[in-house]
Amino acid sequence: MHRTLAVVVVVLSVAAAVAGVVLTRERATAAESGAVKVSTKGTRVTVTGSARRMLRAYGYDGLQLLTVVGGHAYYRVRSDRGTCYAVGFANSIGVPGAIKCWSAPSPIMDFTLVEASRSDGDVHPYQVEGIAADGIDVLQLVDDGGAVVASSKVQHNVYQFADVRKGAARLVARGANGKEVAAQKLR
Amino acid sequence: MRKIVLLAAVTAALQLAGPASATVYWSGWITRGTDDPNCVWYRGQAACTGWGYWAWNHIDRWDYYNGTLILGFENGDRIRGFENTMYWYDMSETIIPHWVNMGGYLIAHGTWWNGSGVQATLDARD
Repeated sequence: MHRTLAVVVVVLSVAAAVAGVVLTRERATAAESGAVKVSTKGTRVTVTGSARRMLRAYGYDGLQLLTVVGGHAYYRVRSDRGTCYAVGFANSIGVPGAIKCWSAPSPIMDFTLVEASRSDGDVHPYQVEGIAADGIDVLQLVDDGGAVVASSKVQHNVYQFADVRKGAARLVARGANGKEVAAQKLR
Repeated sequence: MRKIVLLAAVTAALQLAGPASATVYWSGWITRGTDDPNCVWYRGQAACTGWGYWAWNHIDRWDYYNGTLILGFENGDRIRGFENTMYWYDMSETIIPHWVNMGGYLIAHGTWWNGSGVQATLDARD
């Protein structure tokens, strides 16, 4: 009896491991081949306050909360404007701070914020975050010389950099195999 | 009398729920040479609302252009916003001042940053 049970456990473990490898490969392949998809489903949330007015003004038809990371809430936005996502403060669920729409899903749907001030003249990114398609495992901030200055592991299709250094020049998305899937300039 | 009060209440509620007054502050090319005297930070390459208590700033690109804009808010001390990039048909964006930790009396802006010019409609609402 114990032997039979042990065999079943071993077989199931091997099957799960194989399935995991296959799934990872498929996700990476999907992102690399351009079949861009964001699988995290999310849960519908109630839009509150003045946010309702803003969403109505542009035909955004409600929010689905994907996840909360580092005090920020990430949403899928239902809309006929294309592929739309939003980000807002986690202590105000249902109130997006920023909404972006793309005419087609892309590997990186980025919400990087930039700033310049009188005391610190150059325009530079100060908050880097966004939505990463299936198959993207990690996002990296890379400086002008190609050195990686920070990394963010993707969770529920979301990436976020808590520490954005002024030297960050590019955002690079990599699959589970380490291969570069997509990249974009930050400034 | 009760009906009149009810009607007045419903009308007021509908007005509150309806869209705020929209200000389309730019429609057309934004590029090097776009000269809008309402801009504080990057006059000569930006379109701006002028000062106001803006609830949000919004852009709709007309088509694919190889150019990057910064969409956001500015005051005398700083300019903030996010990059509306040439990547992946990044077509429309909406941002509120609180998201960039700004508030009060501000200018909403769309600032050309690099690449080709961009044709877009920009509007802000108070």
